[in-house]
Amino acid sequence: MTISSLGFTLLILTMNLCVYSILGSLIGIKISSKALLKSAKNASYCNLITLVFSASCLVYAFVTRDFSIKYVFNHSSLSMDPIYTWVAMYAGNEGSLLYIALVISISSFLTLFFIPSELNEAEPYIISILSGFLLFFVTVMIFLANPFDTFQNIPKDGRGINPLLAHPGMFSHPPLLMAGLATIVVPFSLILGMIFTGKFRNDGLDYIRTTSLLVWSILGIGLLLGSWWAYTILGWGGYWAWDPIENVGLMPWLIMTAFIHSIIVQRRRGMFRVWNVILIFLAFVLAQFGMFINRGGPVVSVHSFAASTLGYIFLGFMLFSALFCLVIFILNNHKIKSDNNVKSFLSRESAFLMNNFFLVAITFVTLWGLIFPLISELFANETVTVGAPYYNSVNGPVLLALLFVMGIGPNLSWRNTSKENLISNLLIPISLLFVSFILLLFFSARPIISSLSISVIVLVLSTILIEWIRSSYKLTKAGTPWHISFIKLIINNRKKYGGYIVHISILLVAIGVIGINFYQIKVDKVLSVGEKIEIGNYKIELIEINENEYNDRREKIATFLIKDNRNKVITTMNGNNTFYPSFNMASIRAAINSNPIEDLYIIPSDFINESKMKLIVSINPLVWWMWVGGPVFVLGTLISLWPYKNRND
Amino acid sequence: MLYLLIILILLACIIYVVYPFIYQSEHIDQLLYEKNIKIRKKGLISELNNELASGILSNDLYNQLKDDVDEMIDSELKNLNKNIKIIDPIEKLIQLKKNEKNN
Repeated sequence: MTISSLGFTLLILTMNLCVYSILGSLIGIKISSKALLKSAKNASYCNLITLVFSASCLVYAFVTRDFSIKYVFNHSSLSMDPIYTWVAMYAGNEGSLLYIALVISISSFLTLFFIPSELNEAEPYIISILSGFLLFFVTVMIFLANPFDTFQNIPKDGRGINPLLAHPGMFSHPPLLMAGLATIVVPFSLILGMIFTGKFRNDGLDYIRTTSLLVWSILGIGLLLGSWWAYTILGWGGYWAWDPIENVGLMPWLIMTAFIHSIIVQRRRGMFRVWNVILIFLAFVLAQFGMFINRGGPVVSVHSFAASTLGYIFLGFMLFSALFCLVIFILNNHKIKSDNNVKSFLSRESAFLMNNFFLVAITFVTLWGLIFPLISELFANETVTVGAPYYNSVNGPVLLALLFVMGIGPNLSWRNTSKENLISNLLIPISLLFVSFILLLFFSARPIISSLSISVIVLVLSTILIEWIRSSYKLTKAGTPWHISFIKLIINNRKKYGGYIVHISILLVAIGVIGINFYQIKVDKVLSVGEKIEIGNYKIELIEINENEYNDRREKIATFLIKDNRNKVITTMNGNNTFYPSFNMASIRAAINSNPIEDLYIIPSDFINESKMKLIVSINPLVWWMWVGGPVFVLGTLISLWPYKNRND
Repeated sequence: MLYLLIILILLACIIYVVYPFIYQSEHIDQLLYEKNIKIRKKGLISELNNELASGILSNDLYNQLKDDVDEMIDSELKNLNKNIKIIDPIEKLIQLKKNEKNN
């Protein structure tokens, strides 16, 4: 037996275990057999073991450079840096499917292991949904995209890894994004399970919220890391290009953002049940849409690494999921109606509703931009491209409105807000908004929308800080020192204040977005060695161009000397343009000098000859804060997720 | 070696899947369920208390929201009690004895 046949046999075993756990769960409910239900659950646990071993077989094949396996041949070579072995595992369609299956089995294991007693009745349904989802991926691998497929004649060397993937960001960005999209099935299955039992009320909501937050944060971090990667390696000169692959990751995240806000209302006030079901169904279907676009969908993307001819299998699965959700919703709609309605427009509930409305609006604007070229080609036979200007002009104002709600919402009370409370809560934040807006209007020569955006950020930040200060101050009255009060405040209400920290991280990202969109300075220039260019407070001199030839690539490196206005040397920077003949692909790495005020960003776009090159230089203000937003986002999510020690199981 | 590995994995899976048919345990989940609903109520009330203490909520609003939580949780507990067939072993024993008498 070879390592490839072991890996494949384990996939077949997983498929059988999935079928058993689905049938066992459904028959177990029908005949009320506890033993069968437990056995089905155990079969679901076993999937984790079989898939861990199967994935290990593939990793082992990469480590030993076993080129008898086609997938290893296509995604690694003898000259590949061993550090990229893990990246190579999910660098193509087949391996990424195996990775996704592994993630589903891990998340299923954890979901079922920690399931609270409120969800016991729904558990068999949850098992069958999770196993059914896993079964789809495993079946696709076994019959259509086998990662363990072998050659008859073993090649001596492989093709190597896709050069764009040979980047530190690739250790985390694709796996997190894929994991985020795949694990949306967890909250989906929990809610669906509760619907099947006819008990989707408030039972198990804390667990649903926890799993949703986890999935949402994984997807969010994946997206942010993707932005960082695009900013540094692709040399597009930006962090976000509204590329289809980026958009299909963003859309489920936006809907999950709406969901994790809306579920708070259900938990606190018993409202929005139907809406929450719609949101989670939408998030799941959009995640399947993402898989379809990623794996050979009809939309062209610059970084669809897992592209295959299997797009239409995933399209079929997405359509099946959508139909399934629709039928379930129609059949169960009457069982999940809320007990209460929104009592006042000036309430926290209605602020959450507005937040949801804007998030869904951004999602559909993005979806429309993504599918419009297809519709146009299909019905009007016209090729249309929808680019960043469309997304920025439509989504920009909606995002601003969303930020505004983020600033107003926390000042509103549940149920109803009295006029006195509203005035006392909003007086300072709204005053700060107006003051900052007027100041920026007078002292900044940028478009009015940039001043408005910054003012809204001031509003949101002041709302959070004022609440922190006010609440800590109240606690200090009992004699507790200020800093202890602040920590106590956060510890006592982790869900809320963890959420506020996440809001701050969103503000940091927004600061970066505003900086690059409204305050960027950009110059295109052809430069020879020894020549200088001036931009902002920088003097940039091209010192040298070096060319290195390797087995798998030709690398051209430009070195720049950076001085300030007073001719004081700041630093030297390197940017490179590498060509990979076996992939017929060039990879550009920008030279970046980053600080909290601004980034000096140099893209070596073209090397004309040994001493002359074309470059794009820009000063990107405040982008540094966008990347700081990542750790703050993680911190906020962790605080929000940190469990209370009061559960019984 | 690899054959041995696959046989071991296969055996482990079979044993683990068959095990519940050999050893059957009785869980009393409903009691935990009820406790968890009460814990959830405690959690929601403590969130309200924190918000009252930090001045986010007025006394009036606090009372209204507290009443809402009471109402919501009470209706859940009512629903739960409706669905409970046998909640503890003693009750189960009484039921068995009754059945024996009837027979």
